Amino acid sequence: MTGPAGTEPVVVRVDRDRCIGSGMCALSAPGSLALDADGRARPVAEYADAGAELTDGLAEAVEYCPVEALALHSARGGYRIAPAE
Amino acid sequence: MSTENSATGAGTGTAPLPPMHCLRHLEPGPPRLAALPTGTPVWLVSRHADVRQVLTDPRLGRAPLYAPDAPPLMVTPNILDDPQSMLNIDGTEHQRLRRTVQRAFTPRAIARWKPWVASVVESLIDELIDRGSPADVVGAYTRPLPVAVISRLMGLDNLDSKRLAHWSDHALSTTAYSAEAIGTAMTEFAAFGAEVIADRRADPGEDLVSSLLAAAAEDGSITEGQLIALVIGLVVAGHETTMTSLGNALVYLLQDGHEAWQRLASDETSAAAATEQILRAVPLGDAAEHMPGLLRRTVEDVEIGGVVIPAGSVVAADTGSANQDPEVFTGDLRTELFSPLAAPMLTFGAGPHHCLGAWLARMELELALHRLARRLPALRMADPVEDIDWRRGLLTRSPNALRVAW
Repeated sequence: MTGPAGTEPVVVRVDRDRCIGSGMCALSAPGSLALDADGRARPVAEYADAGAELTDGLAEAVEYCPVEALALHSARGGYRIAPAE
Repeated sequence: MSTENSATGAGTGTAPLPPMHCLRHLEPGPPRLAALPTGTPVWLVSRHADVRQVLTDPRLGRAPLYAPDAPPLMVTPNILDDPQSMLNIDGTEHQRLRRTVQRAFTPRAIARWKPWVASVVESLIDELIDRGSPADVVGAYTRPLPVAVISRLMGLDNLDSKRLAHWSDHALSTTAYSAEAIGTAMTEFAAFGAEVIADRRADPGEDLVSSLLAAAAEDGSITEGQLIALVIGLVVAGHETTMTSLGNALVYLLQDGHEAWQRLASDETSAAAATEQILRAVPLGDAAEHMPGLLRRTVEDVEIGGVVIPAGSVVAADTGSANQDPEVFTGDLRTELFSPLAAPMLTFGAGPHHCLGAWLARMELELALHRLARRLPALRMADPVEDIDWRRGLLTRSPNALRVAW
């Protein structure tokens, strides 16, 4: 899946106290998120730190998280992209 | 477990049932083998961390419980045993179905309904006060509130509350009704669901059914049977558990926990904290002999709490025990009612099947408790707790009626 052209690299942050381990995000965006051994989500590859492309799957994962435990941030500016404050 | 729950014992001459906040729980410990009433062996899992693992580990699922080689789970199956339902599918198939409704139930989506839910709460309290003291708070408040909310969300303007109660009781029956009676009621209920779907396809609106049908049409993989099961599942789940929790919360707060009533009235934050603690400590049901926990089945060997559970085993995650695990939670309701939870409570489950309506239920309970305490600071139970007429023979237990005075 491809994201909107020309978007800046993003990182995804997981509120691990909030995460209930639904696994919805790891199914929608397996390149960005995975479930840890403790059943909670964590960002993988560049999505944890350096930043990478915002894919449709990742946007969907953030939008559909049942407990809103995921947030997208700009990898460069650090500001939050989604969900809106 | 500590209590009997028999539909046939509803008459006079039976010992009074303890209120739900007084039930004793299984002492949490390592997974151990027991049996379901069907004779099927079941691994009982009771510690907080172990229950959480059972519910989140992808090596355990719901679909394997209904696979061709699966052992019998319920003596008299009910709505939870429909293999087509969202409850009983896993992985990508489950996610595609859940996506059709998930967006309507995120915390922020639910928060948008708050002013409207508050207005329903206030008008029901107005009517309760108009009836005069004493009055039945179940008939006037704990039952109509969640029914009104789910009806509005789903656009069910003409939902007959008597028919709804009939279907819901059969849907969650353990011993109250025969397999035949349950089958007949569920056939009628499914026909009602199919009618609602046909109606919304012909004339879409802004409601949840219309939006889930649009999402399902876009997806293209969802069957008609799954849609019907989803719609009627939302109707039952949308009111039955909230009614149960609210009724049992009032049994506690208007008697043993009455010193908290004034603080519940003071602010919404206190009511929100109390709601979490009540959801943790007061279970929805006591039918443990029929359903000792949230069931899953292993698809391979899995080590849980130091015990290797073989592939193909049925596992029951006892959220009631996990919610009282002394390793995690300290103190009881009386001392902890307004304290933040020491760890996530498991009443709504965890993992892929975590309760869709968790945020809606929380909001309804918080508003219902806070506003009732504010409007009726002197509210109390009019009859002794031993005289409560309980709904029996169902997976959930709550008062049929509860006379209160002020």
